Amino acid sequence: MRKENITWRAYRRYCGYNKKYFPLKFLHIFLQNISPYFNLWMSAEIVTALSDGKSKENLFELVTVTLLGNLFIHILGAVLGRSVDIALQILRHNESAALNRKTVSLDYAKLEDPDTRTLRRKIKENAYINNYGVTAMQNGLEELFRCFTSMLLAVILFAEMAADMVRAGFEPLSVFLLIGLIGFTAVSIGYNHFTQKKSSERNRKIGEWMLKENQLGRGHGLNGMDARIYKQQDIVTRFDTRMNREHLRLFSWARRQAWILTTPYILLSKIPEICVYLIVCFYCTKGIFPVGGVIKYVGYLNRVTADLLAFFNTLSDLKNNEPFLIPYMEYFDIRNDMYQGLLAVEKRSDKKFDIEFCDVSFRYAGAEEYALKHISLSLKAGERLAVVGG
Amino acid sequence: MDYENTERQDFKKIKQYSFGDACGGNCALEFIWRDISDFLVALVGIGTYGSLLGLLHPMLFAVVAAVSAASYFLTRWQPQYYEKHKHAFEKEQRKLSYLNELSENFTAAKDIKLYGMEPWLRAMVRDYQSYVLLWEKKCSLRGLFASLLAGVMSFVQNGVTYFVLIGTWLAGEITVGDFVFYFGIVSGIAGFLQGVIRSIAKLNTRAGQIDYYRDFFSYPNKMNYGKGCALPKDAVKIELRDVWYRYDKAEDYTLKGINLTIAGGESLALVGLNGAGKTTLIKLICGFYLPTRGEILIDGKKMEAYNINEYYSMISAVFQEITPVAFSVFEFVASADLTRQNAREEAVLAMKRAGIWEKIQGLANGMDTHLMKGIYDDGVDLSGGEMQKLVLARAIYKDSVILILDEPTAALDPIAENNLYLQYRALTQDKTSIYISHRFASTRFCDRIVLLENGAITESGTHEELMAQNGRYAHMFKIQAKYYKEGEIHA
Repeated sequence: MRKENITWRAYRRYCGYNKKYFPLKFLHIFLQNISPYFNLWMSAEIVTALSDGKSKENLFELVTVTLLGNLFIHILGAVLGRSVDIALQILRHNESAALNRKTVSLDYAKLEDPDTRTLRRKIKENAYINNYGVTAMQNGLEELFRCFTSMLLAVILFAEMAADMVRAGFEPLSVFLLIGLIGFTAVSIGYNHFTQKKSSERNRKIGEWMLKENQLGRGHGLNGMDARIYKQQDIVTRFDTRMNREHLRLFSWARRQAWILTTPYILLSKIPEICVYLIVCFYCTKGIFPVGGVIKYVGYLNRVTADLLAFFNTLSDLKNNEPFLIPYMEYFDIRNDMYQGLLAVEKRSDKKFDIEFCDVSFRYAGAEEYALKHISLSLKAGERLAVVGG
Repeated sequence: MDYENTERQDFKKIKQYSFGDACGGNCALEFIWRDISDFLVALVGIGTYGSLLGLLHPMLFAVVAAVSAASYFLTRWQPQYYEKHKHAFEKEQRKLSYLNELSENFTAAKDIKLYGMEPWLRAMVRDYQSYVLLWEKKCSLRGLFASLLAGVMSFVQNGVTYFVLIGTWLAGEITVGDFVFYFGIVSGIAGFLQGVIRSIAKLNTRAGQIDYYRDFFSYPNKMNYGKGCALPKDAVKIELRDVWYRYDKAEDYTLKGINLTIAGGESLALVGLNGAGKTTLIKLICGFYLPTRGEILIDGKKMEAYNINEYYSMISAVFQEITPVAFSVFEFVASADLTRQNAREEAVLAMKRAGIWEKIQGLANGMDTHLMKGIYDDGVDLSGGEMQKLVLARAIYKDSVILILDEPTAALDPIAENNLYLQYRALTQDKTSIYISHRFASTRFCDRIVLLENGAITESGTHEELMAQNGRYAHMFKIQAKYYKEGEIHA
């Protein structure tokens, strides 16, 4: 199975839980992305108008447009946001109902099968560690969409900036800075990609530990009467102390690791920002960009570089998430073995039945020994059988 | 804490709230630090930004403050609504979680399949889900209105800011750069002001939640946790004088005027129908409850005279509820006294006498195997009968002067049951013991029998005396005995 397949399959199943959710959510994300760009654009216009000494009426117009525009986007966003929240709730409900339906409709033998139980446990565990599984897939796809629309909007607005720059002609300093900008962004992306393994390994360790804590904690619930008479509390206290010590040790280690890994990344990602400021200020001082351009272009460029980094991060997160989607999809693929057919059972008019075992042997799934060996017995209608044994 | 407290209604509520808070993602004890630091940060922010803004235009600061306050108070009803109705909602949410877990419960699956319960469960889940959804819709509707109001407030605030700043600029008092600077300050200060008001409200809620923790820890105890008199060394005489007991929030008394004396070293059989009060009686003797009326004397002294924890060390008890804990088998059996010399040998001996040693010996790690396979991968799940033998071993190991057995053979097969009966005299040598059972065979090897009916003792004596009396005891004994005799059974 090609790797991309599983995320796509999971996405299609997820959509099935509530067809309205993703369209609404994507619309909402798009709207939210417009807001900061709109604000940047309008503040830049206002500042430019101020410095150019435009008239009061002009300024009044600009301010009104800004305020009303913001209000409109806010209202639309709030209304849409509510619909999105409700749609998400419905989706979550339908999802848990689907999972339950699947479980209840499984053959009893499949239920007892340790493989099934492992799958079910894994799905829960994955969700517990960082929401791996379908939730991570959902969040990842939404984030991807956000970055994508943000970059798209910025690119459209870039046209203006690029036009100005091209008209100004070739400037060695600006080209140098541009190369610096693109280069360091690429380096940051690469750095993140290579440290991804380490951080997901760290997350996995923490998640497993928390699962273990949870599980062991469940086994130490005490009955009040036994605890008092048999002094069970002492043993549990000793156990808790050990667990707490280990917990502290692990989390300090994780914190150190995280710090060591992310510090270079922070430094690396600051450099593109510096380059952005330098480029824009350079063009502003040359008079090629208007004064407001500082606000506008710095804002756009910073957003675009940040979103580019986020885009690639999310892509690798999604790829990381794929192994966790596997138990989820496999669970729904479990087939039932029991007779699901429509074969008519011969019914007697007095609604009584004869039962007969013909040389029946039975072994539990995963067991070596047979629990029943060559049982033959018959039970006529109306008989009462007592089963005794040691 | 007193055992009795754990069964009280109001304590259960306090425990539910405080545990619910601690286990939720928004634990008060954890987040109060974050809220305090948010508050301080906001305070500092207001200080610095406010002084800068105040230099320029004090009126602007006043307007921003007014708008932020208005914005907060107008949007307050959303979190308030949530807090007020949260408990009702949590109850329904818990029911939904229970139903969801039920379908995963592989043990319940048998019943669900046999009785065709699936459609019924599905309908219930759908009902609860729609209720929860209704609640979510209500909350988010209020959130929507709050958000709209916040938008309008922000509109007003920004409008005033633009108006003032542009006016100042037109008057030539500030430059374009200053304009951008002050605009940024205004946005920042609005954020800090809202933050301060929000933090105060949050701290208020947190304080309310922390009250639950305080109530939990300071719940009053009635038992004696201080210095108590010395423990008796020989066989203990237990005396109940006119003991009455009523459960918390119950209308009727469960035990009515019990007068009972158990001599030191005597073994008593306690029989009666279901719900007669047998388990309540032994819980009183074990020191789990305090009698509502009357008193209990141990070795001639009132039970309150003993330190309750020392008192517990005098009792070995086997109760009907068997709670496995994920200890190793050795820890489980010997938890009452791990520091004893020869603890391991004595544990083996206790398990042999209970008839469970063969099974334990055959395990991979023997006595050090953990119980509960779901918790430890190399753990072992013992069957009902095996667990019953294990808890008996635990009581035998503790070897204390009072031995109480409540239905210890309910899950045992006839061979294992007989094993216990044969050893009973040896096990209860020099101990005061009480044996509760529905199986009248057990009364044959006890010194005395007491029949409990509706909370009162109606018959008392040895087996021969009671059979001669031909009362309720004799009647019940004959009913059970007839099925073990040869010959025709008349229904």
